[in-house]
Amino acid sequence: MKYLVLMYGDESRWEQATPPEREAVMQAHRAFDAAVRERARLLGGEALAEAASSSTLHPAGADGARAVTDGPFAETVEQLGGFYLVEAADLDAMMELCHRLPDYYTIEIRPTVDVDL
Amino acid sequence: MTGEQDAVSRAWREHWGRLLALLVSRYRRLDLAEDGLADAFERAAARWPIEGAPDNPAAWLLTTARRRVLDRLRAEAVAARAEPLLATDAALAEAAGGPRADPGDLVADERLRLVLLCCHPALSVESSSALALRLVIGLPVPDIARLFLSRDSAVAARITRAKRKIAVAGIPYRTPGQSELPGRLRGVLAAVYLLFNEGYSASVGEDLIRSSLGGEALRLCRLLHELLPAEPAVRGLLALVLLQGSRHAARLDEDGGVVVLADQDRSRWDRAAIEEGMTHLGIALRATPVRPDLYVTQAAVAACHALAGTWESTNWRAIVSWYDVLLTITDTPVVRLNRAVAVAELDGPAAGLAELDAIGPMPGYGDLLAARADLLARLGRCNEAAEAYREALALPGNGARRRHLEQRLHACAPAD
Repeated sequence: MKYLVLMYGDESRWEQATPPEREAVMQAHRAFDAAVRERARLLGGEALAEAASSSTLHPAGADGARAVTDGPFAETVEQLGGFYLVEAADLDAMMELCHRLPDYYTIEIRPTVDVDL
Repeated sequence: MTGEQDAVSRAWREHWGRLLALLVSRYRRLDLAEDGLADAFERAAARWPIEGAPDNPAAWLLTTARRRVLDRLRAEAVAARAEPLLATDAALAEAAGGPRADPGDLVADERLRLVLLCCHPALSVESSSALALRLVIGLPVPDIARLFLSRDSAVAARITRAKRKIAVAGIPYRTPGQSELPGRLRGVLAAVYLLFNEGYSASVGEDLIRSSLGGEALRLCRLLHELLPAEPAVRGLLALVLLQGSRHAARLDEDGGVVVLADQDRSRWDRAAIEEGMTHLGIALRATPVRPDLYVTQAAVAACHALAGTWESTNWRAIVSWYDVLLTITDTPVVRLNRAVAVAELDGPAAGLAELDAIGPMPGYGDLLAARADLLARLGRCNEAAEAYREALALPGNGARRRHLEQRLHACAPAD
């Protein structure tokens, strides 16, 4: 089963983190990486630049044009900081792996669906 | 209803839950197990009236259901052309009668394992308990809705979403490890509690008490306690089931009519069950001095009744206090109603009625309407009481309880 692992966090926490705290986060990601390669399949993953660097393309308005705005989809305290795409046996396996990720994230685990385009 | 149709209904009530659990355990596919079993019952309904009911209905149903599941597995294998043939054959071979799905079972009882599946932490507690009641006990959706004080459509949607989530998110059917069991607990306890309640005071059918459900609930409680002896909540539920269940023999008259608590012959209460329940309650209370537990607190209320030699000597002040504690844990109309009834005994029917009316109107909630009617009758407001009884009777409900309400209505308004 394929899952998209979405890591949400308060960006200011990372900005204010001390070097040892940042190293601990990197360590956690490395541990997650290693565990996934051992027990599942890592299909992809990236760290994301800060939410302020996003540009958002909106649905067409009354005038038929699609507006572009500066910033992310939603202005929330917690923003998407990174993602992984993982193939794991089942949700329990996926959850178990995600427990290695840094504790300060709120992690959404979304299963994928197969769509024939 | 003919004898054979009776046999199908009886088989449904007695065997459905257990057969489903066995099928899920063997084939690890909730969807196929459900469909296979539904199909088997359909065939039974069609064939038994013609051929006569089999000597061993459960075995007949299980065999028929398994054949259906295997057919479906084969069909899926054919459809999955991309699958290497070898893997599919292996799956089929296992499905056809290989060793049981989970080696080293922590939880031997299939029904408890199915309940644990339904109570996966990725499912909300409401979804979990609704799903468990539907799948393990086979309670129809309208009955579950009544237990939750919800609409049928809401409960049906919740169950459908939960099943879909299990499939789409890949929630596996496997026995949780020892460390995972406490995390499943809330949902499991909620499901077992609802099961006990339905057995204790059935929401449908003619009989007030559905002994098989109550017995099932007690058995599941004991199993949970064996698995998790250190959990006060489990002890609390076990105590509650024992203490309330102890009144079994006194709750019905010879005609199956309701005998209310005030009128029960307490010499018929099961003293051994009470003693055991009190022991568990004591331990659980001592284990939760700071943060009272939902089930332990309810068991404490039941204990107040169990300790009273007569209705008159009941310690209503203690009962009201326990309900106050319960409200800090869960503030619901049900708890407020039960507290109002206790207040009526402590401070008189007018005080009780005031508490009851403070809950607010709940037109679909039969127990509240009936309680209101009782209090109005005690206050001599017979016309209003009769109106409330009629309102309660207008709702669907259990046959024995309806007869009881009709008697009460007749006492207020003999012309009815």
